[in-house]
Amino acid sequence: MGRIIVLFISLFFFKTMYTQKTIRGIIANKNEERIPFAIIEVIDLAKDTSIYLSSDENGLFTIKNTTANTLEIRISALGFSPQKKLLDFQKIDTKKQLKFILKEKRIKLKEVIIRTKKPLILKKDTIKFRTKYFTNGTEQTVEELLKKIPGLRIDSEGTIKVGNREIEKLMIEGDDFFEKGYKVLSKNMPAHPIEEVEILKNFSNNRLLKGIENSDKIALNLKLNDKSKRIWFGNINSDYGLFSENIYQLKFNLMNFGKKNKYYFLANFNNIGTDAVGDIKSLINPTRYNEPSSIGDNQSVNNLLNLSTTTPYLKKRRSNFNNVELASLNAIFNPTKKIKIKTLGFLNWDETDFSRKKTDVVNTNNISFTNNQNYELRNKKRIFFGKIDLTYNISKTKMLRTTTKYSTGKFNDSSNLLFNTISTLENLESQRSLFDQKINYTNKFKDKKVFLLTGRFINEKTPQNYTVNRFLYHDLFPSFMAVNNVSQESVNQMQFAGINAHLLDRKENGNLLEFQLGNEFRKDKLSTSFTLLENDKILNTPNDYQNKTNYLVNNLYLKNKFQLKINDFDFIGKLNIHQLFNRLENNSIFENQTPFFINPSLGLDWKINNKNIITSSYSFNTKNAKILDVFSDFVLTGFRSFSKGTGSFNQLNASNFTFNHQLGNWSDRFFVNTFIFYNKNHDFFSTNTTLNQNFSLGEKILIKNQKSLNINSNINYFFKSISSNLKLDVGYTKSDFKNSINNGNLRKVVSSNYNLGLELRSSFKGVINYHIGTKWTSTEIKTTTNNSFIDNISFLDLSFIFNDKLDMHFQSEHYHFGNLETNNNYLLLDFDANYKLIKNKLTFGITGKNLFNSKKFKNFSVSDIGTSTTEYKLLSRFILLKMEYRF
Amino acid sequence: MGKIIYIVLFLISFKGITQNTYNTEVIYNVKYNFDRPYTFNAQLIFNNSISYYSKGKSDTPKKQEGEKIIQEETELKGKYGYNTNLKTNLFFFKTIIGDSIFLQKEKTTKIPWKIDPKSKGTILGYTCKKATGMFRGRVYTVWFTTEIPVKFGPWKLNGLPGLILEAKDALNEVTFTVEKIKHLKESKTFDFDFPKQENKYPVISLKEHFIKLNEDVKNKIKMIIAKLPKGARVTNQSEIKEYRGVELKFEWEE
Repeated sequence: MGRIIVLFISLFFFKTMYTQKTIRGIIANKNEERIPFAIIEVIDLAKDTSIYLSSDENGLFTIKNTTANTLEIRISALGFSPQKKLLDFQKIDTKKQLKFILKEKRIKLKEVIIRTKKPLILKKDTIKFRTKYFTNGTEQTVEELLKKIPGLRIDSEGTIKVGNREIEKLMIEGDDFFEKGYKVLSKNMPAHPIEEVEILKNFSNNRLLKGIENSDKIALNLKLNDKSKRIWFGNINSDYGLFSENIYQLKFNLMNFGKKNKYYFLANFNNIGTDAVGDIKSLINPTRYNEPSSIGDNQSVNNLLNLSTTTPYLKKRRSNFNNVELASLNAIFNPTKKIKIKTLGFLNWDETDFSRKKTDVVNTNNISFTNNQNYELRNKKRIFFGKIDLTYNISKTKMLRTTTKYSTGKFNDSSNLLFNTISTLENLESQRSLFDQKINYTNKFKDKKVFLLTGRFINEKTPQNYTVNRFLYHDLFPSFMAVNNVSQESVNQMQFAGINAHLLDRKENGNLLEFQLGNEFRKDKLSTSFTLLENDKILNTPNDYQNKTNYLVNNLYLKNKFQLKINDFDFIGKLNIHQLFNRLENNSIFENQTPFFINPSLGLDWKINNKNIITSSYSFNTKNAKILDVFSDFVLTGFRSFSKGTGSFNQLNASNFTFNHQLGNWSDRFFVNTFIFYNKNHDFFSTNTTLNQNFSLGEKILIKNQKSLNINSNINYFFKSISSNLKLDVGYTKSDFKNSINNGNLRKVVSSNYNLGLELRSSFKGVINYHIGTKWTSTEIKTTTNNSFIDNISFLDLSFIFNDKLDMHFQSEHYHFGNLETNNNYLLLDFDANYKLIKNKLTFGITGKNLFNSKKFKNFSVSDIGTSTTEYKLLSRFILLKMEYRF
Repeated sequence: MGKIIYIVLFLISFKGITQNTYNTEVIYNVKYNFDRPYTFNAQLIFNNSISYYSKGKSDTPKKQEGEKIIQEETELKGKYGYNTNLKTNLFFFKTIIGDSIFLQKEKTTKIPWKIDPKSKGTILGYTCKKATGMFRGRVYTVWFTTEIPVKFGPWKLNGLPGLILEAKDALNEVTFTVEKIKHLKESKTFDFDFPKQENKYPVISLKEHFIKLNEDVKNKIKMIIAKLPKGARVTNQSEIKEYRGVELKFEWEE
């Protein structure tokens, strides 16, 4: 029995021994040279499975433990013809090494197989940042979020730049509300719904121009996270003053971004000096110079008279005693796939107070006197603006767009002035009304060729009424002794109609050709009427102080532009040909003129290598005189200034040269950016000024050869050891021109300015980070006398980020003004602390501004006729308790 | 006497290994879609035992239109690249981090490919089969052809019984697509020999390489933040999430 079991077991083993085989093989070529790393496919035909092996360095391979009876072996190796062999293990001795000889394959040289279609990669123009990698939910507004994205720079006014270039627009999910007026959005929209920031390079405002027009414009597109779509969300900020009475800020944003319709409503009420809107002008008139279909963008009415002020060096909010209300309602509708309607409207009420004391010392050409002014100004404005954009996508290659704008504003500026200790009151009432209609048809008739046809009509009118309750001009009108006040009424109106046909042709090799043919017609009507009054009675309307000017300019033009790329060079050449028809009517005197001129320009960009990029350009321009250059009689432009134009036609020629060199990149340790700008105005409008203690008469005169030069270099070096970046900023500006005083000879005025700045900014990971810097500015104006001064501004910013919930910031500034005997040092300190009670929902904060309570600020400036010392009133210290609630 | 004959015969029969100088060049179009979509061409040159893969080389014109680049990618010009050697089972990666060149050395990883036997496809005229495998945190689906019988593929993907022509990861963040296959002249040999340069450049392991790469990215971001102008406030600098590129998970993390 036991033997039978043993027999069975041995038979069993015998069978398995026989069925489990290990086969060794060797692969070689016909010269007996082994072939390493050949691929062997071992197919078990019965089971229909295959395994893959490869031969080792010596051309050997082993098939381990196979149970099959027949195997098909397929051997292939690079450079050899593949071989198939059927192994029947009943016939082969598996103990012997199997030999496979492969035949060399004659490979045809230059056998190239190319994929026919290269996928179009537009993505290279898009850089996407998923915000979660750069932020930590502590950012309140979009502006604060964008400050975290590498490559984006936000300056103190909120201007967003990528590298050196300001962005064109800030879009949300592909839709834009504000164009260059994006600050309304970035300063107010909450940051938390934003999931992705896209930087779109080579951006085209017109989708049909993408890839054809040479655009180095950049736009940002914010993508929202899905939760935020289709629900109402927004935030409320309410700040109220502690200790000081009635200081407040109330802001709220309400948004709903659905797929079809988007709504955005925002409001801001404050009296803490914050300018809610940023730059209103850019909402009304987005500037798109040199962009296709931008005809008429540079046409607007400028007023001769403006009562407004600026504070040099300081942020506007420090001296902006305001009371502002802003409400804006915006919507984007997509009723059908082809139509998009965008509406924008806002109302702005603003009342701003301003206060300053000024001492002017005039000392030139044997004239000398001193004036003292104690000036208090109140500006009141009420502006309404509405805009409707309609885009109709006729087909994939055709598009029709129309834009209609309407705006009306009422301005009331009054000042209480102590001029040389005598009280003087000014009052300026103005209105501005604007109607603007643009229509554009774009046809992309071939893949890389586009034709645009644009028409534009603008009507803008600004009537003004100005009164001064004193008569300071006895020396001008000696015979009128009873006059005790003056008034001037003026109306400045413009009508513009233009049509432009533009052809863009992007060639195969990347070169771009452009042709434009257009006609622009502009009619300006300026009428001013200056009257001398005794109380309410009109005593006189003096002869040389009334204007009735009609100025018609018709510009027929042909513009050519070509862009060539040769290796690392980019050439841009432009040739603009203009045929003008000018007609001037000044107080019933008519004149005609038909000037013809050609303006060439050449630009050269050279990318030496990845670290060195040079851009340069040269151009020759001719400018035709504008309405404010050509009127013939005097106009009152301030309580003690009159000005008058040339009374005739003029074309001004200028040559211009720019050069820019960038060394390195933003993320390099060493990064330098140098800029040189030289401009020579062959013809230039200067002034002949008649100086008198109580008034000055400025008359426009034409002079030759005004030059200006500006050189600036910005050097950055990152010190790894202290994790800080050192920035060195050096600049030099020089400009010279000629003018005359009291009808004397032309005298030369040279103005030079040097500046040197040093900054050190840290990027530590810990709690504290600092930013310290100092800047010296030296200004000198040379005429027959020299006036100069040196100012210094230093600052130290400290930021403390304790944890997720609490952060604090200190900002201090120190100003030192040269040439002031007393009060020439100022120290200002601001403080800001935030505590997030509930993350992304409720935040409390405290802000203190001007903690050292500096009440005023004095500085020194020079001009070509003398010097002045000005003292500005500052918003006194206040502490605000803030609260923000998000929903 | 017999022994001598045996030895002689043995010597004669052991003639040596073919000097395979058939070099093939394959151009891939690579698309990375992480935080920033990024596309470029890469070149793979191989013979039957060594391959060499580098970024940025191609015959197609590279210059894009009017680009003003704000942040440059450290462009790896032909000299830097990956080298896989089947003989030694070593993998070399010559790269720049910051300003220095390093030679990263590691053992080739055996990727556990699963070949789909029923799959069939044609790419560029070659019959292909599909396979899937997980490598360093990503699941790749690839198409390979046994008509080009080498174990290589783009970047670090290799180990299949044929050249990998297309590879895509499951998250759609990494894609390699073949564009061109060219057989080069026999006489041309390439300097594949990174191991020879071990004396020239510091040799680091994969782990050290990864650590250095993270340091470099953190430094770059630091340098940008430090250049921001006055008034630009960084309210909270988050722990910059470790830069992950194609490789999401490493062996030492398992």
